[in-house]
Amino acid sequence: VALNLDLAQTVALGPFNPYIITPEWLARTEIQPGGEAEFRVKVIGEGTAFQIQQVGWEVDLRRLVVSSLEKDCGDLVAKVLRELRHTPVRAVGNNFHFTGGVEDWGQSPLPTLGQKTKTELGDVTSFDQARWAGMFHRGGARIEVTVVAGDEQFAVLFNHHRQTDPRDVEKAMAAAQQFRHDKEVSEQLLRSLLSQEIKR
Amino acid sequence: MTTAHLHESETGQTAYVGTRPIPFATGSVAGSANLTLFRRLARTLCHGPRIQRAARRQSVVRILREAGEPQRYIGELLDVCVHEGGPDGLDLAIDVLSETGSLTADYVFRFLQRDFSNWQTGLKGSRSSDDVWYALARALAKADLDEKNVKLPLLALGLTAGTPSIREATVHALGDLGGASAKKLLERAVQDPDRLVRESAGEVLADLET
Repeated sequence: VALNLDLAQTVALGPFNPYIITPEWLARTEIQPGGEAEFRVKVIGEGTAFQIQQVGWEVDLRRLVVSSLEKDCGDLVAKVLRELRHTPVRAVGNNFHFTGGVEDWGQSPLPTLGQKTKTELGDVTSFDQARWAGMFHRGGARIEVTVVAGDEQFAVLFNHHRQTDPRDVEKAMAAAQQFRHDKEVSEQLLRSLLSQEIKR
Repeated sequence: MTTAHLHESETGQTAYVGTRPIPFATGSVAGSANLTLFRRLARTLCHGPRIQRAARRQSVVRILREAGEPQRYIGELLDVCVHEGGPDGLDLAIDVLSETGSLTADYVFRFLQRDFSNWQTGLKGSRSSDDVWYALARALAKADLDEKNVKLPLLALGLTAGTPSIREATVHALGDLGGASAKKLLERAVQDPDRLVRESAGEVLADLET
């Protein structure tokens, strides 16, 4: 039994312009050529969101978010920063979410509320969700790990956060390019901390 | 509009999350824990056992109503149902969204504002937002909302969209709605510059007459 990688993404904090970063611009700059790919528009609170070739893009005046299970999100963000070198980026995060059904979790403990497990809550209340979180520092990154147990399913979330110098785009690019490394670290932590394997 | 700036993270950055603050500003926005679990729930709604479908559908509706940023959740639901949901996906999305009234109307309005037909310039790829609009328009027509002040104005807006497929799906939603006001809008759609929209409007009008 193994967990699924449900989300992989790179987030760059900075004032990105949704009128510049469009599917057409990504194709023209060859950051992500559209080709014959399917193209979806999404609605988010502010800014714009779209998906091309299994890569999700979200752009607003606070951040750029690139999500994909197949592509190197950090590399795509670094390519955007190379084109828009004047954008002051003050932090970069690489996020990985793993999910499964509770039956996939095996013998490792899942989050509880105090001493009570889900089944011990009885008639007191209906169980919805419980979480555990931990923070680590490793290789210049602050890593937050969150384990969430829901009613039928669970999720393990990793956030690899790096502060960057808004005046030095190279540092932001380097942080984004830690994407694959951070993914490996997430998988290592999943094994060593929670005794879980990843579905390949 | 229902979008809310809910929480401030430790760095003072406004963060959009499900129902809790995130400690770090780069923590996943598009994938808060709640949203990740919601996405899994939407998949099990589409692909899980039919006997559990009613209960899961109610869970999805409840989560949408409680969500801090419901647009993001509705977007995920549409994404899962329309693109990964299999043969029942579209109908499930319509069923769920017809129960979330004003949240659906809000999403419809924002979707129409983002009819990015100009983004297609230079792209050869197909645009798959059409099915998303189909589900949204049909859900809006079924929803328990004020017809005169909410449904008809939004569907009238859909008929002015730059994309013909959006206008065509709007025609079918007006057919679901029926009534004199919907017929008036359909009579206008019979004059649409696009042949498919004109033909669909004519067929729907004929159905409503019989």
